Amino acid sequence: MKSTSRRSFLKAGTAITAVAAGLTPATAHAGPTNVLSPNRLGVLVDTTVCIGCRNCEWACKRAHELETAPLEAYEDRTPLREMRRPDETALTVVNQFANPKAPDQPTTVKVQCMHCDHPACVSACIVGAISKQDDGAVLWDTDKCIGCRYCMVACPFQIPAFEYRKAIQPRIMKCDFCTDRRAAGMLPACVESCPVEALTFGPREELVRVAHDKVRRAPDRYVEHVYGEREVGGTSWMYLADRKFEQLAFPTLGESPAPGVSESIQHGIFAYFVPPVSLYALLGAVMWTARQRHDDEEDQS
Amino acid sequence: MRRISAIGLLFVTAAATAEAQRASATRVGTPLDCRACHTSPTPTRNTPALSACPRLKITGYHAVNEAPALITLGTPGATYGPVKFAHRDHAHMAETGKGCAGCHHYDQARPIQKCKNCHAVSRKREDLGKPDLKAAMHRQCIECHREWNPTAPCSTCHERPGAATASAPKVTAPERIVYDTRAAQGKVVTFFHQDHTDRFALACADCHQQESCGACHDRKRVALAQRVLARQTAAGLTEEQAHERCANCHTTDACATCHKGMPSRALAFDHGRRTGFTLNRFHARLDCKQCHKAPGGYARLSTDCESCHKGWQATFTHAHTGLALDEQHKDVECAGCHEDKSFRAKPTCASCHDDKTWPAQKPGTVVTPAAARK
Ligand code: SF4
Ligand code: SF4
Ligand code: SF4
Repeated sequence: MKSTSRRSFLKAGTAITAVAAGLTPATAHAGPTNVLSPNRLGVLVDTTVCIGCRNCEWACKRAHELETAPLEAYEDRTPLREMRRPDETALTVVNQFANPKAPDQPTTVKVQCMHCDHPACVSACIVGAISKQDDGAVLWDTDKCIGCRYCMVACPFQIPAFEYRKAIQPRIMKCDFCTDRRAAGMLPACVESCPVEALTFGPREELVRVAHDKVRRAPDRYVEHVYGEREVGGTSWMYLADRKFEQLAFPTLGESPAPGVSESIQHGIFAYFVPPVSLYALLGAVMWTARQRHDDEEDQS
Repeated sequence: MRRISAIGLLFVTAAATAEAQRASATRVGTPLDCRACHTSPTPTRNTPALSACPRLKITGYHAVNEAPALITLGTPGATYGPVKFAHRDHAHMAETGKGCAGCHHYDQARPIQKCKNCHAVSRKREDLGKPDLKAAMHRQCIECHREWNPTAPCSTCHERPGAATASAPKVTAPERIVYDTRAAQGKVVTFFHQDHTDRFALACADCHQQESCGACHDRKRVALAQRVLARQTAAGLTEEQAHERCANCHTTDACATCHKGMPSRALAFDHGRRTGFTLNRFHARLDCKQCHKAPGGYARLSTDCESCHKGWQATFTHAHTGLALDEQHKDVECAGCHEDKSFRAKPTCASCHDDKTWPAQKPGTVVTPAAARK
């Protein structure tokens, strides 16, 4: 993860204080500079190929040292019966949808951070703890995060999760595009583990080409829509499907980047107020300690 | 001069471009990836970038029995072992489907290519247009295996200590299938499946072609066991298509032979009733094809014994029937006593003898058949 100097954190802190002190919102309007590298990477998820084996879920947990049952336990498909969202215990989950074409073979869709090209979470973060990297990944920085959870509200895909159960240094948890693994020359864990390569990893531009090629060559198999190619200004993870994406619980989003929305909330409504961060932090701290104590008591009983 | 040649060049180029466009127009929109033939995704007329054509090494199609019997696929992983793939068995089954080409695409008449000639071994690769080797293999197998077991675990194929590798649902051939057809008269057709396969010694692939694996390995049918299936004639089938399989053999039958008002429970085929030639207990044991040898159908055969049993009289011992013929009758033609060669009807004496009747008088002595055999 990118390390941050205490100084830049303090600088960001000063900025907040400045806003809090009632400076014009214009000073805070400087959005994140977002120069997208043409070589940025991505993943194309082909939901018509995915078999719902959840090997990706297992591999992701292993790669991120999250608690997981052994791989063979994933042969049990009952968890697919209920809709899940990625959370602090699972950075990616696979959901299941009825398949009218083959009722016995439900359609399965892997969900994780989309690594937006113009991420709402980045714009929403008032201390710059989340940033879009050159390689396409949207990363969260533990040293900068103040735990305000604006990113969670801002994300159009409801991805960032918060370790509510942790009193000390709770983290924002979301797919990090396996940045550490890739730095070591490996593929993202989920991509590597997928038995049918429903997840194709590569340069985003090439993936867009491949996606359209697939649709062109098998028009019966796909709807003519590469989800994420344009949604919210484009995402690094993109999807192919055999039906309208809203039928697979994808939000219907416009082509303009969502950040505009959250930025205006952030800088409009809250600009003249003391940021609720401190309030949140205080309330949160009380809540966590209370909860922690409660949990401890439960553990003992 | 220079000007003329420039114009000429323009002409040639224009013609060449037009031809290239025509050629590519016929290929655009095919399900083939350009890279099946070209090494570059953007071949041009001048640099067509053709890959070495496998057609140049045609060795011909080989029989299923020559296919490798068992292939071990994959390498042992931490949890799952490799797959022992019964290749020849699958090839046999594929005869009712798409044949070898069902899996070995673009390869039907050519030497079978190794999958990894096209599918990259490593997932980190340049060409993202086609799945890597592991994915290509998995997709190939999973497509059918998911059909009959949507929750098939990896251990269906992969060895895993402590887990039994599951097999496909048993093929339970239905005893009979009742079709609910669109015919105006005689809507119901009862097809005696088992009767056809047993009596006519038909192999699956004799009738079933272009079938999916799940058509036979149908877990629902297994659940239904031998129950009668009511099936709507698949919508959209033309009359000709609906009759195709039956009409291959039933060339001259009237519609009412199959089309009835009710599901039929009677034995489908009674040789005596349908042909007038009742099979005795020896004939009944034979496969139809042992007598009806001519390929392509079950034409009416002569009831003349000699038409099948060439020179059989020479070795026929009448004593086996329980009656040893005496000297006078030994050389008489069979039909001399057994009129019309019907051995069920009473033998007649009257063609030679005015004063003799069977069984009051016998043309020999009664013996026990067992004694006659000694
Ligand atoms: S999906 Fe959400 S968390 Fe991920 S980059 Fe986009 S806005 Fe941020
Ligand atoms: S890229 Fe890495 S972090 Fe993201 S879902 Fe895949 S395995 Fe998990
Ligand atoms: S590993 Fe691949 S096939 Fe399995 S659930 Fe994940 S995306 Fe789907």
